[in-house]
Amino acid sequence: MPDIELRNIRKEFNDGKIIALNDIDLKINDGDFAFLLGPSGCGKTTMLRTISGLIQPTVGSVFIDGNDVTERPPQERGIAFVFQDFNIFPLSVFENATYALKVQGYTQEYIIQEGERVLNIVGLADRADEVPVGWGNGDLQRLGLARAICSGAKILIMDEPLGSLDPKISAEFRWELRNIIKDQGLTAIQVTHNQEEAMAIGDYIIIMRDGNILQQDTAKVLYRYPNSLFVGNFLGGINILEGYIRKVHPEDYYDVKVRLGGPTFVIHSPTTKFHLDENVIIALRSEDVYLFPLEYDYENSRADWTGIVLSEGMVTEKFLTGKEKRYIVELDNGDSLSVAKPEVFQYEFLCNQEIKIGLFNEDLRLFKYPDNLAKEMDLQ
Amino acid sequence: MTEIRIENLSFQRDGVEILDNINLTIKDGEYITLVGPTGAGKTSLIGLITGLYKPSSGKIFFDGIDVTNKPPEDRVCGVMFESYALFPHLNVLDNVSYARHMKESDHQETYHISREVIDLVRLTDRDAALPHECSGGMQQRVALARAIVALEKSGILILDEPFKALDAGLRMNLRREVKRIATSPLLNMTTIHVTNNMKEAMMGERIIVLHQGKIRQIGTPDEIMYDPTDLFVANFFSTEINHFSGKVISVEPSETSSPDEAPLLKVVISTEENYILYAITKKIFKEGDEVTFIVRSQYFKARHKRRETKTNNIYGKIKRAKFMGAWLRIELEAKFKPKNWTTETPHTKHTLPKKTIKIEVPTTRTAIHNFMVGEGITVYYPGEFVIVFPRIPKEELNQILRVK
Repeated sequence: MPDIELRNIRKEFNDGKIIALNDIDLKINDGDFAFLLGPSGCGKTTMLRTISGLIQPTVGSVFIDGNDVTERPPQERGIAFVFQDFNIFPLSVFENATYALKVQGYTQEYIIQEGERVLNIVGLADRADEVPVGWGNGDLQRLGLARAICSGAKILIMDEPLGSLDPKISAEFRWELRNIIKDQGLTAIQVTHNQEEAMAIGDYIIIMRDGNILQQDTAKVLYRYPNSLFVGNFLGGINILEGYIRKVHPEDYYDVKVRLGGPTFVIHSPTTKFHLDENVIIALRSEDVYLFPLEYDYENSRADWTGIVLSEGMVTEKFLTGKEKRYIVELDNGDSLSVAKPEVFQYEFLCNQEIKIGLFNEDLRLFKYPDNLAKEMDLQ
Repeated sequence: MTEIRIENLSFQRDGVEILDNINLTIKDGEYITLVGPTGAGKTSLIGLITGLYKPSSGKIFFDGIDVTNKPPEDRVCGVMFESYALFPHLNVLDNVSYARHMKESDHQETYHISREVIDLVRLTDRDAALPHECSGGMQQRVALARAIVALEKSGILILDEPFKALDAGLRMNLRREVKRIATSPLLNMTTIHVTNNMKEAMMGERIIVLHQGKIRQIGTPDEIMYDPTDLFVANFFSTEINHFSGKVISVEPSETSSPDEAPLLKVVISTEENYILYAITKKIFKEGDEVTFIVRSQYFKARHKRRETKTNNIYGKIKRAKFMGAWLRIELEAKFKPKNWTTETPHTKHTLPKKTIKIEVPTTRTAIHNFMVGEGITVYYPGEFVIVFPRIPKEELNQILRVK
């Protein structure tokens, strides 16, 4: 049962001037595929290193399989690594993959059997005798993965394994990576810069910032119900409107008035409480904004439309981003919204066209007004 | 401003052909993106434009003047790299003005230009900040301002994979911001933005698609997206694609033709999997032609019910469904009916050919998206969105789509 547990982990650098990990508690269960996400300097690399034993925590303990391994060196923790840049030895693919077995003194027979099995898994069986010099990054990552599996470790730690690949290749390889990890029954932790990759193949995502874990949840929960403005924005751009609480209703409903003469929304916020007149941020995902032509009679045309339609706005920018079309829409009060629509969409709007803007109260999220809004929205 | 014209340009290195007969004109003041996978030749092409490399053959003209043999310092090119390489001990203003101070003695003028550009990149009240006090996004703008000032606000600005190391969420706004700055009427710059990312390439007024040392296509985002010249371009500008090869069984004028435009044809094919699919296209095909239909994952719509009797309706079982934010990605194991299938045909479930179809459906409130693994659904696509090519051989499909 290779589960991983961090208890009250604190890591300080420079005599406590820098707190890289701030009293972290974390549990990763056997067979989980967890992703670690956060801006540069959030502590995710320190976290990986602490788990693997490359650095010692200032305070706290690391448990693997229920055993305290805090004092154990990396090679005695049953962990294998896959990094962005893979160091190859000037040996054959087979020898590169089975290197650990040879060092550990296994019999030649066992090494051949294991090597063949593992190269089959990663799809390199027919290239076992090649020397991987000049190979593309994608194939090198397969080899890196083969080496990791061959080591017999049940825990895989991966630091941006797909980071050096072309976006197209990395998007194809990630499904394979997940299948291999799941088929082998490995427990895996992966760090990435690519939110889409994490949502696609991770069982869940841990979002870190400033040495703290902000939220740990499945992609769907994180995306739909972020517990902070930062998390919401980090998993894909979010629109924000500044407003204040105009009325507090029972059962955690609030009337929220958008500043500068904007509309009033009724928003449900079961987790965070607000008081009358408090300044707040209203967040709305770009795909949850609906656009209609001015003449569109939404009330009589759509049976499924239970949303609200705002006063008119104007399209100020429009561009293709692949499978989505992006519209920048200005509201009457001067706020602007970024709107994502599927590239194949029933309406096509032009720049400077006046339009109606629709949304559902249920898609609005309410957050405390941060001390430094710019910092909260800047993902670095 | 500078117009760049490249004629019959080839480049070899250590006997290896890196660029093969490139012909290209970048318009005065244009914001163009240069896109391709690693090894396509992007860096070499940029090196040839800036004068870092000498071509094996061919010529480069800036505003009609042959610069092929001019050294880099005599060319009006500035490059902003992925790593900003700001001086850590100099504040924003001094970082921005440094290069111009080195070559011009009029420091007042340099500060004046620098302040103008600092305004343009919206760092007006941060000009005294040191790099480590700036966020990543701000550092990027400092680096951009520095490149612009060094160029004296005119010439050729090259952005070499500027957003590669940034988190995806930050990129969208930065891309818009960088384009806004580079195309500002206060400046006279032609911009080449190098990237390996499809979404980023779409920011260009035009896109140059480079692959294996050759230009595959140059066009506006719409042209590249809806009329790609080949499978490589079609695939590169897609999240995922599906392909169906088969023989044309009928061609007729489409009802959706508009009188002002070229006539559209409805091309119906019978696929290798014994399925009847159609496309609405401007391209001319005739009965009996062998063709390949390319359908992007986002063009499919899905219904919970089984409804496979109509053309373009494909029934199958969901093998995998994954929430990916605004989109739900579905892998569908499609079951294809034999051509002579009628409602009386006994249920030959086990003998039907299978094919995995990849689709993406929106997850917004008004979309149906509560699809479950194991569920049987019908998917269909509007014929207008199919890209039709003469039949693409299997080896080429496998090679470009990397099917194992």
